[in-house]
Amino acid sequence: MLQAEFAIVGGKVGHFDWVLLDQEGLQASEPARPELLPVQSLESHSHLFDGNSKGVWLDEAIAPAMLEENIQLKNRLLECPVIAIQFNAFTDGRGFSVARMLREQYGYAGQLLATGAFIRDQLSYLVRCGFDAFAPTAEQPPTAELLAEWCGSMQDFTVFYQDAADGAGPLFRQRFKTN
Amino acid sequence: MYVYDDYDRKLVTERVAQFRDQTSRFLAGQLAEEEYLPLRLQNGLYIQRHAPMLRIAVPYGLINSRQLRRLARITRDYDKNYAHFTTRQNLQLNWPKLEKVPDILAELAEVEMHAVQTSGNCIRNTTTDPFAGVAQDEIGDPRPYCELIRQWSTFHPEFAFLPRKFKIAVSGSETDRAAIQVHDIGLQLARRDNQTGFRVFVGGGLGRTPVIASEINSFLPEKHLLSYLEAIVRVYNLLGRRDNKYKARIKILVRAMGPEKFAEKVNAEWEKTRDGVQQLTPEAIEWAHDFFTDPDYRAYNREQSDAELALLANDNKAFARWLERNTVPHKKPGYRAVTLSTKPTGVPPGDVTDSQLEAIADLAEQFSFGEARITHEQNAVLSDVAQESLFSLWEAARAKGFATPNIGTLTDIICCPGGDYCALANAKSIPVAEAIQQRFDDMDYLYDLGDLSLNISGCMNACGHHHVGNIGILGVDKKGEEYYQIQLGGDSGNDSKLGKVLGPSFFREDVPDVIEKILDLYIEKRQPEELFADTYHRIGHAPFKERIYAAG
Ligand code: SF4
Repeated sequence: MLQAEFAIVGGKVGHFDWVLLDQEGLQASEPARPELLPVQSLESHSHLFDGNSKGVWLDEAIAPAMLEENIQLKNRLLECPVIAIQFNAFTDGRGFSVARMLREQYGYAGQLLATGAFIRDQLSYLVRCGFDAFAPTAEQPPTAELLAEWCGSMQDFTVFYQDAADGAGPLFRQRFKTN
Repeated sequence: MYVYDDYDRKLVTERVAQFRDQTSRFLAGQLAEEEYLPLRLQNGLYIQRHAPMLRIAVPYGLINSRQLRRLARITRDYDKNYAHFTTRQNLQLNWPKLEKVPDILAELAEVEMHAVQTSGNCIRNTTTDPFAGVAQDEIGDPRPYCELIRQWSTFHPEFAFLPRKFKIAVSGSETDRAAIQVHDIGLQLARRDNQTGFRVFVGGGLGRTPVIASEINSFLPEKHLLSYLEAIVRVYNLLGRRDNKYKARIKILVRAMGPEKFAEKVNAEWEKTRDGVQQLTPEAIEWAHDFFTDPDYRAYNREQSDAELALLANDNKAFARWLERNTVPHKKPGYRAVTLSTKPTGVPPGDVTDSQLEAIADLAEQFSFGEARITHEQNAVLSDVAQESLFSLWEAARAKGFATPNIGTLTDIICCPGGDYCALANAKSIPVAEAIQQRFDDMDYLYDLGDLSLNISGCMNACGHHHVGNIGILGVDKKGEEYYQIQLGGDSGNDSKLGKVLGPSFFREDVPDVIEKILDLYIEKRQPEELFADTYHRIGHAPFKERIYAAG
């Protein structure tokens, strides 16, 4: 799997310590290493999670239906300190819905990390949908300097018409607050 | 009309800044072409056959004189002195320069306009009845809901990368003039037990696979409007196909799942959010309605005003015709709504020059409280004209080329830009419209034919809505040559129907002859007062087919 070297967390650029492992990579998992494992491994390799700080990553294509059908899996997922949503193409917007559902419907409070092929110009929407960490992975991932520039796009908008995972609430409610 | 407050202004300004930055990064080679593509599309910017095209949003078709004047100026300063009204009540510029687009957007923002989400795989401009708020058959004014939907869908963070474009239309009257059944979501305003709500249709659409929408909710109380829409779009975003562009619209998903199953999914999703913050408060609904209150109508006596008008019409046949075809009754006594035809013979349907835009602005100010509407049929409407001013308006409109009394007739053609502009076209559509207008320019003949819709698309994307024209013409490509397929029997109102293909396609030169034969047969077969669509459905497809393809 493609790995990220840097990530934006809490609005700042830093080294990205997590290693993304896919199904095949699971054998290489080391107990002490911070790793993001495929969500299915919560069941198939549950021992890997014991007492370690492991996160999982979801393929945006499989997430919601699978979680609806498998409550146990869902509960274990929600206990992970980090959930990564992997964007296979930046034009595939399913991850935005998955993120909102995790935050707003399942009450996930850990770190929601975007990985994969999303782009800088999506950051403000990603933030609104509940992501708070961003580790773009690509053949040529952005440098730390470039990522620092990306941060400028996180607040492209300062007012919002509609509610989202950021709890902004719909503007029609705001409009009546003051008067 | 909706008036921006500081929030709205801030949002559009921030959007202009965002797009300016994106465009300069693109021009500097820092933003890849394929990454810039959806960003520019969501700002209305296409790259067309000859030049970029900018589609400017006219929310639910409503526009004021100040905005029209600004648009006129923009066409002069940044384009070739004309613009084009689209079938989704928007306005297109055909020749802007890419690097100038941020400046155009900034100019638009000054008059509370933008090009947000007029293209791309997101929720597009919501459309409605051009006679909203003034129609006699209105159940309720759809515009406040259109505005609430506009705000909810604008910069919706979850729905900017849908499988495909997404279009919503709202009808507030008994007769559907917004073609809601051929939209991704169609909302029909309804009342039940003193409550206002909506019948909700999903999965309609034209294009390659035309489908009439299915009703999935027979009464959605108004306060749930946004949460329900959000549930529909979320289900679509998660489950709509992304592997094949031609199978990505919601209609395909609804068809594959079946409307009942789809409705179940939507309801399950909606249950989780229906009582949340998206629920419209009574204040919010009232607030939205307050933007669309009646203008300062004068009190007229209906009988007296109607009688005076009839007298005028009696004396002047040309005026009488225009009155009959281009104006409709109004909910207020002594008023009518007037359609300014953009379709005199020889002008591409929907095209307006800079001076015509200014003329509409002037006429709106002089005769209709400073507002106009752009219609699905690509004309402009002045919705509130006092009957006593109609004659002066008619004269003024005539001077500007807007008074061709052909509204609703054969030559009020809906036509996409086609091969003259559009990179996707299989064939030109504008010259076909022109040839038909030229052939059938005898007004007596047109009136005798009565209501008849003729729609032309230059390819199967169906921007000209050919499937739902009583007569539909589709440009097709056969080994690099342009041909035209003809369909009959389509309809876009309450009783929406898709036309049926007549048979093998025709050369462009032959299209007017074929149309003439179709009309001849109608005239032979019709019963008194019977419209073309009714005759067609009564006698069926076969006689038409036979007449057209009979030897010789
Ligand atoms: S119908 Fe085809 S040719 Fe006409 S505007 Fe649409 S895409 Fe272009």
